[in-house]
Amino acid sequence: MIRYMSSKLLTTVSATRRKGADTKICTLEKRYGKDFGVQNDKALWNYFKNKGFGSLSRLLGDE
Amino acid sequence: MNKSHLEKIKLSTKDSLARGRFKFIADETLRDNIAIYVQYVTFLLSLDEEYDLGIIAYSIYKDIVIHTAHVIESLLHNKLREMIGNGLVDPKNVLDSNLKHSEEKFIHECNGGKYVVCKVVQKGLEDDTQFIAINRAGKRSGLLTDALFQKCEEVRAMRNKIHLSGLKLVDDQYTKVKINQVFAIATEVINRVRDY
Repeated sequence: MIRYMSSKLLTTVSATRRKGADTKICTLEKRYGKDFGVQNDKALWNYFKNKGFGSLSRLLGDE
Repeated sequence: MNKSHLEKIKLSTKDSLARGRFKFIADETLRDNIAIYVQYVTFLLSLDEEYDLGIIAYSIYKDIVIHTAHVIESLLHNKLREMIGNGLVDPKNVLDSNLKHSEEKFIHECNGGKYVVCKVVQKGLEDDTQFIAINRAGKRSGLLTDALFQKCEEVRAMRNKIHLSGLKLVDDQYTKVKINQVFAIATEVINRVRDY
């Protein structure tokens, strides 16, 4: 996934990780208008629910 | 050569899981390792849902079962270790004794069989304690209810199918229903370990 990020974004992600901040990938996606295949929690739960895996959504914490 | 990007894949990241669902795990290494496993499970499931994997699908399902079983086993193991460390559980009361063969003494031979005595030693909770011993200890300690113990044993039986030489049937019977059952059990274990 990282190979598709611009160097500027890669730096931002690296810096975020170094700081241990809570900035989420979805925030970075929103900021840079890119889709890294990583969903915010709610979207991910809905995705798996819609695929017939509501039990996985619950495992991930949707309830 | 550039590799293709799996554009349709949706997954939950290790960092998100470690900071969210599994933040109750005090051991940071274990928390990250469990998060990595669950991240991989979400990847596998999305891979199967979004791409036509043909005859590989049941192997993906088996991999999901095995990884989810490892998560269950490690959560129970860690909780028991904490309970023992906090003095809430005496390992003598929850873990099976075993026979230490190194101290065996031959005492009698009869009808071609040899009889020995050996020292019974109490094993503690080790890093390599088997899943079956963890499940039993979980039940004896009260961490697992009878019903949850049975479910964990079902998961253990499924996980044991990693031992190919012991299988009597071709192991290609994994279904969506079975995967959902395993996820439901894992959810019960996660909540139990978190709240107990």
